Amino acid sequence: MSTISFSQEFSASFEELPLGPDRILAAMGYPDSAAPAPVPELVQEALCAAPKHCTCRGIFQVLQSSNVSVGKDFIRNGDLRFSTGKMIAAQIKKSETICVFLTTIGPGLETISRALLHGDDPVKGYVIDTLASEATEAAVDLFAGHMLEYCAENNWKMTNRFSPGYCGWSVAEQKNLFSLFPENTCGITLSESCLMHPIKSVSGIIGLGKNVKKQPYPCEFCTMNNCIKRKLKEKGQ
Amino acid sequence: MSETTDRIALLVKRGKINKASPFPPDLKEQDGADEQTKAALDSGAKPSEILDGCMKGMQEIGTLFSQNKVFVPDLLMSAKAMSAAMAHLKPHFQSGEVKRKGTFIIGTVTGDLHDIGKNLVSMVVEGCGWEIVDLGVDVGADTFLEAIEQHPDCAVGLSALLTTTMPAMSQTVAAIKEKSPQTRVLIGGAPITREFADKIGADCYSPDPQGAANYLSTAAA
Ligand code: B1M
Repeated sequence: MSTISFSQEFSASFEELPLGPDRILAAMGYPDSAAPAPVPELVQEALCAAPKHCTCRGIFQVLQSSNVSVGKDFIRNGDLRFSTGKMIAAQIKKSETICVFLTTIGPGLETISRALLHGDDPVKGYVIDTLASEATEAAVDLFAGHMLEYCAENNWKMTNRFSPGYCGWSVAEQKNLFSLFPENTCGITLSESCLMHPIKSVSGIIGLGKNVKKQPYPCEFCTMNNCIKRKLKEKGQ
Repeated sequence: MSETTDRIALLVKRGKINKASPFPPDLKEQDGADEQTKAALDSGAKPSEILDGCMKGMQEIGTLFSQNKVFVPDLLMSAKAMSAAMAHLKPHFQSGEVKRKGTFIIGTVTGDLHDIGKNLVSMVVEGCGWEIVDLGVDVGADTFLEAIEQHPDCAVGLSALLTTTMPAMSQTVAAIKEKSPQTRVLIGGAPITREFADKIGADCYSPDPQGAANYLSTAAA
């Protein structure tokens, strides 16, 4: 018996993503317009070239609410248990159901950046790599935004999105998440060590319900002290 | 430090590769690490002065990177300038006129394909005077052991970016320590901690490339 009550695939072109140079420079660590030449130029160049090499695809599946229950540190979908840890479970608690998702921007930009990183222009390669990472995050947010229309029909709102590997939820649990999708959905596969291919892909869940809300993303709950995003936040950027 | 050393250090730190490179803009049309090194060697500078310059420049940029004052692109530009200078030193390394501090074998462990962090560590450690043997990504314990056999006095660096590949790191450290207990093993990567390093018997954990280079310099001294 299918445990999915609604499934929607999305695709988008690079141009549809809300992605400008400032976001990419910030992801590299540079505060407002402080990046040295040639970095801003390379970002502009990469933004112009990216559309040809980037196809964003995603799938969002809403689980049947009668099957979903949330415990202190886990979420259950029938027999399938996600050991999300306390922090995510608390955020999902008031949800009526969850939406599981996969999103990718495809292998195009990753292939180009890898060749440059190993070839004679590692700076350009790194700029394209960062752009591709930010494009992946932007694609998830774009598709999640489309899901708001579905939510509105049910009078539901959405929580933040949460991914295995963050906030105490083991990255190995991606295996459970992937069991809810047909093989090779959107061209995404999962390796034995839980690495997705294409690399620029994200998996996760979102809570849906009348009484849920988005919280400001709390770095404090994450144990990754060496994360570049945390370091930048601490620096006040 | 000689004037040559200081000039090379500055060019490496600022990422000025050669004259043709327009970056950084305030050094436009000036000689870069490439031309300066060639000119210095032609006029009788010791290759060790050039190496000292590269080391000083990379040490400075590596330290700024650890302090979040510069970022990955800055480090990559410096590494490229360093390589331009080092290319002229190749024959002097081969003849034994200048010596590396040792050999550093590095790789990302089995199941993990992340390599930007590992490459940055290689660059900074190379800039601090080490010869690099980069085994790439998804590297099994056996491959590390074979490389250690070829370079018995080496130090080894392991990188991992996923918690799911940390067990492979643990197994690799155990295999190295069993076969070659004297080999120093450094580990790093976003999910790695000092506690984990202690637990699996690694000699050093560093959150950033410069920390790895500093540990190697101290350990080799
Ligand atoms: C030998 O001695 C040494 C010494 C120092 C050493 C060393 C060795 N090796 C490295 N170092 C150190 O020196 C370097 C320079 O300072 C550093 O190297 P790094 O490689 O860390 O840094 C690079 C230069 C730049 N850093 C990076 O390129 C990674 C940055 C962060 C923010 C990141 C990004 C950008 C992305 N990600 Co994600 N991502 C994160 C990262 C968090 C972080 N690192 O802060 C990490 C790696 N991701 C994580 C996760 C969980 C995931 N990501 C995912 C997706 C993504 C994006 C696509 C959005 C994007 C691109 C990913 C990519 N691989 O290209 C997913 C996996 C993707 C896949 N293909 O399987 C997903 C699984 C989430 C999901 N469920 O979808 C975490 C992994 C840890 C874990 N829990 O297993 C993570 C650490 C974030 C976190 N805070 O939890 C140091 O670690």
